Amino acid sequence: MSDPNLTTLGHDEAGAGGVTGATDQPGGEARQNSLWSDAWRQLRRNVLFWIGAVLGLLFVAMALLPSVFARGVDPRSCNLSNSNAEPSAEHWFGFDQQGCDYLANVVYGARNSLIIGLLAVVVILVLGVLVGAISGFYGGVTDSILSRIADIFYALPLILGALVVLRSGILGRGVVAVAIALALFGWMTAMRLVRSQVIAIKNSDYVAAARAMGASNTRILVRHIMPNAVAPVLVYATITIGILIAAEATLTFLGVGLQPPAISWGLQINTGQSLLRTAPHAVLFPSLILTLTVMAFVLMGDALRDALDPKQRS
Amino acid sequence: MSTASSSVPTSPARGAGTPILEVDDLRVQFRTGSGLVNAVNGVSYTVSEGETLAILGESGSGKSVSAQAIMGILDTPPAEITSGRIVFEGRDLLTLPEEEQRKVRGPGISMIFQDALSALNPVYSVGFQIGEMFRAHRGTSRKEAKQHAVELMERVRIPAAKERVNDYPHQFSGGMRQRVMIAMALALDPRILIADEPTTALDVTVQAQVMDLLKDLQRDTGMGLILITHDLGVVNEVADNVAVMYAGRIVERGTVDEVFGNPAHPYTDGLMRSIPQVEVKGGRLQPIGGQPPNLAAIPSGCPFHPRCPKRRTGAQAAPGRDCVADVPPLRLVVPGRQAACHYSEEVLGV
Amino acid sequence: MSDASSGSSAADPSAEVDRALAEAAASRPTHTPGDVLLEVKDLKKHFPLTQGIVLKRTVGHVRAVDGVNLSLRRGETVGLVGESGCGKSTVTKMLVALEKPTDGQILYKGEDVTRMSGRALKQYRREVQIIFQDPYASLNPRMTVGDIVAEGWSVHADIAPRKGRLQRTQELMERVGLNPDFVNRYPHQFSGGQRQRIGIARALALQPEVIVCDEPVSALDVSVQAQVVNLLEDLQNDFGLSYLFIAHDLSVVRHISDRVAVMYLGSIVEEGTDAQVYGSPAHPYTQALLSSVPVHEPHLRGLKERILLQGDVPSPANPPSGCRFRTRCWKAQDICATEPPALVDRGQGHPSACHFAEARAVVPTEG
Repeated sequence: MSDPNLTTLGHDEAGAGGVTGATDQPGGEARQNSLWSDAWRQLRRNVLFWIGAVLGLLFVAMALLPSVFARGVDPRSCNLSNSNAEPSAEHWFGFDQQGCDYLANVVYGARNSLIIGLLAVVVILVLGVLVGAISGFYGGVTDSILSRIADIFYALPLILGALVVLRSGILGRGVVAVAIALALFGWMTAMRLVRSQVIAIKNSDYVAAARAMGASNTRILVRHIMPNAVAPVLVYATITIGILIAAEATLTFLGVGLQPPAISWGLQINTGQSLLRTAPHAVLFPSLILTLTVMAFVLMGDALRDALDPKQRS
Repeated sequence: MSTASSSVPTSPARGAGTPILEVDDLRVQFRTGSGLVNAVNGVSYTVSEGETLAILGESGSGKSVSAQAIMGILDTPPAEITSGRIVFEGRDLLTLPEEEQRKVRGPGISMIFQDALSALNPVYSVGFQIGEMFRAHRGTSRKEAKQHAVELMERVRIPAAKERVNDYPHQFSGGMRQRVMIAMALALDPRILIADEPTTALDVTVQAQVMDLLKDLQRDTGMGLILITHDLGVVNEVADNVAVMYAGRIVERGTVDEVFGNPAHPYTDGLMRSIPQVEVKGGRLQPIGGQPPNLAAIPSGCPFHPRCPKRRTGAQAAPGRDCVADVPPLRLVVPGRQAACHYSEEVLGV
Repeated sequence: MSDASSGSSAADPSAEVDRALAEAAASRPTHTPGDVLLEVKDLKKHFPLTQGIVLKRTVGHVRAVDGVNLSLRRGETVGLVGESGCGKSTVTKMLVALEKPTDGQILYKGEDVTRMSGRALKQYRREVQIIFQDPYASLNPRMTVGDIVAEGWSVHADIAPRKGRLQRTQELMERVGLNPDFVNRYPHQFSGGQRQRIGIARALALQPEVIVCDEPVSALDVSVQAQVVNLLEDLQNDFGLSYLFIAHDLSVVRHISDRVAVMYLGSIVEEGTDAQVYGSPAHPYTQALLSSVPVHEPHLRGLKERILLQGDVPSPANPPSGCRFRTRCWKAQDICATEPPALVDRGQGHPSACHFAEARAVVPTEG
């Protein structure tokens, strides 16, 4: 126990970001670190996290300011004579079947795809963590009922469930509707993950110790159970973003997702599939961007999980 | 109920029989994310017929890893045997091809583990699992194998063996499961039995039963027994010879009577002093200071020096015997006793 | 450790003198037995055995604890020994209010803990702390040592004002033998013994009166056990703590305890001072237990009477009638199957629960 590098960390004042009350205090020389301040310090030193963050920000910027990235080209001004034209110096991504500039289309697709992916995943996380935590923590009848409800949702495949909901028209047909429809049938795995983690942690000695000193249920959930239970869910969530964006494409194919003239990567990949032989770039570019987006979130999720696990730190 | 008074002290059977197993300068490394971990650093010992050799050490001393190396059950990677010889009945196992190694080890060397429940397969009956040894190695028929299984279960004193042969591991208590493990280990009449903390998970009353059983079985078969444990009491009651390990090295070796009666290494001495006795209330305990070593960063010189009350360094040390700089070799201190301490004579008081 | 005179060893006559001297030096002012702090009366815990998943029905009960009486005075250490499954862990859980007893009372300063709730229960939980067996599982891996030690102050804010908490944490760490600079480290960066010290600091932070020690050293390396035992003794002297020390290691229990209770299958079979229970055990189970403990001194080997018990501990779901030990007892008679023996003094100077209690020296005395 003589490695000195950790004691020097105590003087690394910056970057704690005031995440917890303890760090807000003007503590002078010595400081009480917390999991989150330590995690942030760890994240900052992780190259992969920065790659993911830069990529992620790039795509978010693309969604916010598409005209900048599309070099001012309007994705809907098309010329059929350019149909399926290959990439060139002037038009980096070539043209689609309608003869529209493909770069502009891919860039303008970011907004819808990201909204669907991120919104759906946030809903999944909220639902999954909430239901899973309640189910695992309280157990008994509560757990039985919630778990059976999850099982019922499991019985309906993601796409089929979303299809039925969208068809019924309760939610309408917009971007938000697609995201919520997907989330509604995709939260169960997150819930199961959280539930099993919570059950395991609930019975651990350190939770018993907290209980024995009189800690409230809320405190035990927030301070002990959740920090230990969310790590696997974070990783699951980042991977799910990609699956959800792709699922939107399938819904479109089935005629219930976004419809032209809406623009999304799912739509583009879907239309491009039939042109795979003649115009491979029609599938290639949106797929590539989608992959990079998913990768960005996976990198960030992985880094976050490692940062939240003290054992993974050097 | 047996109320036997065993007044016969275990006689030092050192060198009584012919050597069966010889471990020579064994070194094992682990490659981990945080660097190289030197688990075993040059361990040598021999086990003879009918001998019980205890390997005494705390967690991280390398006592179990060296046994796993002998059994060939180390996970490689991350583990790697970097040097050494393991000679069993005249053949160096480490130079043999893997298939050959298995053929030699299978019937020759057996091992029992601390956790009998996880060492047994929960979906097969114990009879089937014991019989499996015969079917796999001797090609006996199913019926005959079961017959053998019942005999073995009787030999390890499992009551009502005939009725229980079809029971599953979870239906047995901890002590009975350990007996099942012992039965499996004995199936092929091994020459060497390695017992890795065989009674650590058991209660004292059951521990006494199992140790008694092991002793009796050894007397009947003449096998060599390697007893890996951290329990000084078990070593004292069961073993003939003891090798004390610390940080992957043997720091002291000799008969149990001599090593425990008059330790030549400060670590052994410290262990003996630090444990309370059941016989007397005793005064304040005299612990060994500090913490067990980190195998990824073993201290220089004598690995025990940071915790050693007899440490000498700088001007205090004799030339070439600086505890912080010079690694003490395992050397003969008095006849029949080896210790790896620069100042063993002082510790012994000779 | 450093005061061990050089050149001596356990077998020398001089070492014997050393030990005697150490003993004399260590005979600190024996804590005067104070008033009774904690009293357990006829404590029972039966866990229902259920069948079925949706419609659960009770098919029996596991009598984990079945009528335990204990008392703990201020400044005293009471040892509770027994083998796995004897119910000692369940007693621990009930004492720190993690389990509700099926029946019986736990009186703390005269108040029944089983009826406490709200503020009273919270206060009880502050004053009665626990140290766990497994130093790896009992510390939250995602909290810094400082957070772990100081957590009690967030729950019981009146103990330590927010301002000086970090400093007090570091003082506590120093007191239990940890480097206070390590306040921002995580549990996995410490060895087992150090982690147990963190657990002790966490318990101390609440300034408890009683600490329930649930096998506090049995998961530690031999060379580290003594450090922790000594620390517990020092803290008891400094803070006037009372310990209920639960363990299966008879030697450690003898060393630290003023009084010892032996448990078998849910009830206490013998109770007395350490000299009474270890020196002249009256219950056959205590005798067998003591005779099974391996001695580590070569010159004591073989001197001990060996009592090998047959068989295993019966299941607490279906305990034997009458005396629970009768199925493994060599003294059992007809009466043992019909009448459960009471825990009373039958002329041995201390209570034991055996119809045929008889004092018998099992362990050899030194010298």
